[in-house]
Amino acid sequence: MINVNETALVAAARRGDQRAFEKLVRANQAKIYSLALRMLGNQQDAEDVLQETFVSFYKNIGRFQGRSLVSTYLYRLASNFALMKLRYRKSHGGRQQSLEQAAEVIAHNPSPLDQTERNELRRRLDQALQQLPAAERAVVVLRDVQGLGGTDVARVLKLSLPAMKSRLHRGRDALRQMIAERDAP
Amino acid sequence: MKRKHQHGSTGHCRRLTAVFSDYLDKETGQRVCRQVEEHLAQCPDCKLYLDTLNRSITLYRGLGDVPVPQDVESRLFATIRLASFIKKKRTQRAAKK
Repeated sequence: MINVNETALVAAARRGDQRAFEKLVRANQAKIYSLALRMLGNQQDAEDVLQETFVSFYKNIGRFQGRSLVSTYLYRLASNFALMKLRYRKSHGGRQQSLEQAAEVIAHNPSPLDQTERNELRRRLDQALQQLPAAERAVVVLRDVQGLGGTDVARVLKLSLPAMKSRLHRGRDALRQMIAERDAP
Repeated sequence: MKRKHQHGSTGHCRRLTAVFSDYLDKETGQRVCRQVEEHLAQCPDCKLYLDTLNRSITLYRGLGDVPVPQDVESRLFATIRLASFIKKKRTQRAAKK
């Protein structure tokens, strides 16, 4: 659903209102930074993608049709930039992050998690994500972490719905296994 | 990385596993939904598989956004202002021509 306030901000930003544009940035920056960080597993690269995404949005805001939410449009830009970075890393022999066994800490813990445990859990879940192939990681991050609908994920990544579902299934299955292995005796 | 789950050695289990994601997202039709539920009632391995899949998805859904660090945000806004400055200069130059 398109937010009325967002539509007004986009219209103002298109007329050159810098403050309106900055409001759009503030409203969306954490989503984009989170997506980039989880796709790339590296703060510097995530910052690069964050900047590339919003600069590109700024330069091309005149072309933004407003048919989707700003966040969906930004997710598309950010996913493309992140995937380009991953491809560059791969073609230049970039080191895949060396990660510990992701599932180590995700134990069955029925008691409420305290902050330290929560942070540790988050760290391990993020590490597990980094072990997925980039194409599956992008789908899982958009669908399960960022909470986009299946159709939007397919649109953002320019995939058919069945292709998106297939990647989602493979990605989820791999993560499930990493977590389940930790729980095994 | 080992990618295949260990449950259900039958082809039926494997076929149903492929729709578990859709089932958890409530994106299966009634017929498939019924098939899955009938199978789960008699296959503890698939039930365990589905439970762990559901748990993993739930954990990821609860991750939430990572706040943008202050210094990263400052650099982001500086970059946008620079882009804005360059865009204005270009527009002014184009208007003069």
